[in-house]
Amino acid sequence: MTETALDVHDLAKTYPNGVQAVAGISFEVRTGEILALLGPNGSGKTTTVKMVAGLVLPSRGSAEVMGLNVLKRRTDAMRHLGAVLEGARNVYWQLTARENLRYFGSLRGVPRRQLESRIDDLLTDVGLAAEQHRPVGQFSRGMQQKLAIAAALLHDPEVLLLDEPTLGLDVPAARALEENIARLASERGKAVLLTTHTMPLAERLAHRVLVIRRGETVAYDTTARLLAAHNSHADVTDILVSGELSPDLLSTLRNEFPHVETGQTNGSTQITWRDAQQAEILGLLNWLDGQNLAIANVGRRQPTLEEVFMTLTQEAH
Amino acid sequence: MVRLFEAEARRQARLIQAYAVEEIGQFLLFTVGFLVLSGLFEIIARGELASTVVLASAVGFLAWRTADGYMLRTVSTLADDAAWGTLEQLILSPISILGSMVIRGAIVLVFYTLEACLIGLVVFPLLGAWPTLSWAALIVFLIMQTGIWGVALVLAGLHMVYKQIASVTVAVSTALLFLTGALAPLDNVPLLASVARVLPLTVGIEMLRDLMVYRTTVPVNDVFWLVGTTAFYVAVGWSVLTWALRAAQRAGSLAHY
Repeated sequence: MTETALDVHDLAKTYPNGVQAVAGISFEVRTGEILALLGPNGSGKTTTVKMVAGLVLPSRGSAEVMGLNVLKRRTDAMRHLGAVLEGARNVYWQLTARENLRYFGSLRGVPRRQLESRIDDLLTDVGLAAEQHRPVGQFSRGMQQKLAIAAALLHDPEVLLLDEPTLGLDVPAARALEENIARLASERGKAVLLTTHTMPLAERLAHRVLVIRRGETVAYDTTARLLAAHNSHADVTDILVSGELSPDLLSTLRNEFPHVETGQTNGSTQITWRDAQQAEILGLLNWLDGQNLAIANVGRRQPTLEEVFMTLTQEAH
Repeated sequence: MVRLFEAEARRQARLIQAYAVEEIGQFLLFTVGFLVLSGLFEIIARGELASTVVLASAVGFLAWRTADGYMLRTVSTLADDAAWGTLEQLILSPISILGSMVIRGAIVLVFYTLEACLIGLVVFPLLGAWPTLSWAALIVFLIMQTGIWGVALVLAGLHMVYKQIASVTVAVSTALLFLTGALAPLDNVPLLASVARVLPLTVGIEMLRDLMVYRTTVPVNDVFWLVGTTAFYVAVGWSVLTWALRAAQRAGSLAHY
């Protein structure tokens, strides 16, 4: 049985300098659910997360964690909320991993008798048990990020806010962290609000997606429904051309077919066209043939979340 | 609550360990600095070495040094947290920021009091004179340092809003050294002496000298004055920090540095 763990209603923020960061957005995150909050740079994601955490005062609207208003009942609400903000800057680099967890555990009111075993469990969960006595300043960014998540989970909060948790991580570290986040929701029932620019991560992890642009909601639905909605009237054609195109030829291609996207890697050229009609694709193939370019592969596929995101945020221009 | 003090003490101890060279450097600087300053002031003021006068200087200097370190560290501990990204994590805890500052203030005061004692253990044998320790002196010391905590809250609050105010903090601290009669009593400068009484250290240092050097009782009026000015500085500090926290939350600048 899921329940609403985080309930955000008409949250808006205009900063004192007049910049409107968030124009009034509403969403909820249920227990065991991951909601990905997506948007281009400056769209209001971090401001939203910080308003939910009570770190930025909203101009209007409210955020409730387990039914507790984060501003009016802050102390109680904070007992149910953990957050990892600003990349790896969440823990003391001069302290060891264990010392950090002891400090934040005391601060968050974890009973003394439970704290050490809780720290042991969390260090094992995030794979830092062997490194627990090393100063955090000697950790890699991925390890620091894992420790920050462990610190946010010390008091076993129902709601977890993760602001760009994989920023700056290499692929293996990002994948390991992704698995941790997935387990937190599926096995521990945490409600996770996640912001990220890594669309494949959001597509794999998120049960629901909220896309915002300039502080306004552009789309808010389950990930599956959002993809399906775009699948019904849009798909993507990928054409792989052997050899790299000269700059002049690329320029001509973009003039002739302004909706295509191109990329060149390993001696081949990838041409992607979203929402193209069959006749348009045939026209492009004929044009490529006319340039004596060898077409290695042509395929049609469903759009990814990244492509849906691009469509949504461009449509909103 | 005891656990929070314990956790903060461990954290501060670890930070001091991490910056041990800097801490030792500070200790040497202020020990040698006092010896140089007291010698110079003696020659300028009286042209002769009188142990009671130098002892009075030492007591004033150590009270100021404790306040100096206490104030700078209390402000920098918040500034460092903003720079390290841990300030937001502190605010996310169920403990209020003011509660955190009370805990930090207490731990930092213990540290700088111990440092002042160590400096004293070097300086007093060299001077050949020892101050008299008493509970009354300890109480006066704690009240005057509480006033300094209030000033530190003002500066920490201003840092939250305006950032990079370390130089202001140093300027305030240095001004207190010369304007509160920490090195030499202000008796010969009546105008400055009366103005200086509103500063958080002046009356406290005078009382400490009465109790620890001249072994006399302290005037009751001075006790009320000290408690009153301390309450004023704490109230102002508390108000400024509360206002600053709201202002920083409104501007979204808590994590800026």
